[in-house]
Amino acid sequence: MRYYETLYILNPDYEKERVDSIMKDVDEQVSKFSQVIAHSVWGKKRLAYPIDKHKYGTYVLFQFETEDQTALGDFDSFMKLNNSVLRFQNVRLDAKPEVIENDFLDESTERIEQEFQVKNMRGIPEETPKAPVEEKFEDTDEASETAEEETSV
Amino acid sequence: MAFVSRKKFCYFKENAITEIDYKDVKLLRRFVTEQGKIMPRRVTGTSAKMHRKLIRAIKRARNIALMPYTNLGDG
Repeated sequence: MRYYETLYILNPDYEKERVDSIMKDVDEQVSKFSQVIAHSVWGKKRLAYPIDKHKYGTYVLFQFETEDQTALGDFDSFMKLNNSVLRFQNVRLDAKPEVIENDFLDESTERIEQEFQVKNMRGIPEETPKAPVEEKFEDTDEASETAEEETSV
Repeated sequence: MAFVSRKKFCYFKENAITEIDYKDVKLLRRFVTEQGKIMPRRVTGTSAKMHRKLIRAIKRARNIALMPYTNLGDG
């Protein structure tokens, strides 16, 4: 018996019911050929880099065990074709996973959720707009000088 | 010319960690530079065995957007 773990990212705009229904779909797909161990929402997180223009994502952790390795290919294509999944990663585990690692459930999730909603409502751009190019040109001489000094030391 | 030498040690051996989880971003952050590059073994002192596992974990975390490939520019 082999153990696998899939971490996938869903569109952050989806409300709870929609996330639940997607998780149900995934469950159904996998239970055809394997035994589901755990399936839980990790929470909404800030992505380290934007995926399809999304800055946030809902992470879902999913663990299962199976012997049928050919079915894993089908599962992969199912996830790939699922438009609500921004990204997924299937990893083989060495040992049977302990059920739900609670320490991974971030306390900051709630804060991020609020942050996300505020930004979505007001449509505030995340980064401060870059300074006009003209201003930058004035500073470049000084900046490059100091940079050279630093590197030469 | 005082040269202070300090003994390097493997963080994982010291803490008796045998497996590295790619989801443990807090831990992985210690082994990348500010730009998001993986730090070399000669800097961190990690044992070869654990460094290989560390690399795999960091690359997995990058793939699933838990860690950045780079912190330069807009990523």
